[in-house]
Amino acid sequence: MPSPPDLPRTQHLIWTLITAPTGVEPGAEALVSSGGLESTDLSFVIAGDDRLGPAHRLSIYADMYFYRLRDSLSEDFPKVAAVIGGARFHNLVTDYLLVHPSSFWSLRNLGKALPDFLKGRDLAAQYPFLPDLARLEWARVDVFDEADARAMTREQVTAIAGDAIGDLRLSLIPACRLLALDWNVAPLWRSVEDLEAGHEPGGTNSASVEGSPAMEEMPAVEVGPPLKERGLLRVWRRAFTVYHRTVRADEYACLQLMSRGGATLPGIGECVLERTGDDEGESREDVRSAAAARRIAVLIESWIEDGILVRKE
Amino acid sequence: MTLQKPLGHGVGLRRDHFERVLSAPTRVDWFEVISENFMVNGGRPLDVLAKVRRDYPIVLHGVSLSIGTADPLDTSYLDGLKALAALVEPAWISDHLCWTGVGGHNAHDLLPLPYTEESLDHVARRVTRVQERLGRRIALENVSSYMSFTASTMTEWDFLREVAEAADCGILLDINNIFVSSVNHRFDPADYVDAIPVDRVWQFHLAGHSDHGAYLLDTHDHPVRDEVWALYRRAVKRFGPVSTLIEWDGNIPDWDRLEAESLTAREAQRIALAA
Repeated sequence: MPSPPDLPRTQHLIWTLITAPTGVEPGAEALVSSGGLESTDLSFVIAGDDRLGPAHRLSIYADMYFYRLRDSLSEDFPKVAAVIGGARFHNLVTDYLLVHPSSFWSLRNLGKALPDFLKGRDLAAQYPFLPDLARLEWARVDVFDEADARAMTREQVTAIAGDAIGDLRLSLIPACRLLALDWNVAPLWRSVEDLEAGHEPGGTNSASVEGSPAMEEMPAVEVGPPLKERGLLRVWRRAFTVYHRTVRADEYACLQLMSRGGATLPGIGECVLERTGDDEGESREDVRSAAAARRIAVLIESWIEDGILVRKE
Repeated sequence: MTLQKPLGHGVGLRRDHFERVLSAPTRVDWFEVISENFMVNGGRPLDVLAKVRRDYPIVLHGVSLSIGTADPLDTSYLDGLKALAALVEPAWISDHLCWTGVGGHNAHDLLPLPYTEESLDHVARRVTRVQERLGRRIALENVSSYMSFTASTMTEWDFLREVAEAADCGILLDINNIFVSSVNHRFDPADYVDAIPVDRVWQFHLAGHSDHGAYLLDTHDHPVRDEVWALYRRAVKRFGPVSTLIEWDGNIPDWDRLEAESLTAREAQRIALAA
């Protein structure tokens, strides 16, 4: 029997075995095939007894590794999991973790790469809107604990008088994301949310929580696919609640402008005016300008109401 | 070594109980939070923590220090932890005597170490560096384990004691973890408790576990078991009125049930000290 390896080699061996996608014993067989292990007998590293052999003991950790991370991802992507069902989500997570194991000190960022990972996968052939649904869910996760900011109030905006109004630069709070999606997934998100009303996801970041294998049996919810049409969304947090809303092209363009270093009110006005003819079908310049002015007032009012505006100094 | 002032009886602060804890006084003395859950930029978790801190002592309890990994120390993690500590002013900071990943990856699990001289030197040196970087001592917790290493040359309790002495750190003695591991590795849990130096123990953990037949699993989803209460009473007799915390992370009960478990610990401590 080989001598026990040193600490680094012991840890790399254990990591390889507990993260092996098909389990500890197949993982050990693969290592033997590749020359990484002399034998599948792991007793040169792990002590076994009459109750549990070395591989079984490692399998306890392997199971906990997978279920903990899967449960975390299902909390971050509940609508993706609901649409494809527990069994497909289980397999998706297995594949995902092989490519994107956690490399952060909390589970907070584990799902960051999932939307892009879904592109081009077999699953996306069956559910082509899935990457966009995942992007929406990730944006909601992302703003949940993003930095706080004191949004401008209606009083603060109206108090800016005279020439100063032209110099005012507006930007967006950190907890705001803009999404340009190929599929209009917002209604689908709402449908699944309504179906799941009353369901409270559980779980903590504790290192001692066991996973829930029963999730594999969760059936896919029955909802129709979304329309394949451009979906422009803003996702934001007000106080401690996360919201998202579909926006029109002119609002999206203004929000983009503000998110890229801030925008003045004349800049926002120009942005809206450029798009007013397209949206309103107006041709006369004075009518277009009046429509744009009304639209700007509506947009600013909604941004103040939603608490997403900050003054950029 | 200076003992930490006892905080009394607390519980782990979990999302399910945020509203209840903020809305009315409770009968617990302090809260422990998972550090990593609050090492974020903003939002509700930090707001809740700041409000709870106004009324209660807080202990920061980490799960990703990975003090035993062969990887280099994660200085960005330590700086984030230090920043959170500056905000919260915790009674102390704790983490686990374990490793959580290697090769830059994190299993988000508490993996046991081989109890060897090599591990001892490695861990003690790293605890010293962590304490220097944080500017304060930390406490290390014994983990529940389901595997042990053929390379080990000492018992877990000897290893824990030696690390604490070499690095001059505190010990968070998890009574449930001792019991779980004693069944899984067939040792007498009393030997463990009796071998830990009295002046190193800052805190106790109590929790429930699950019986899987061939082994016990540290699930934190049950009330504290009778055998663990018995071991707790033994520990109280040896270590005195050490700050005691109930961990309950799965099948989380309503606040009244959780609070009742903490009050049971308080009564168990009182009886043990009076005996």
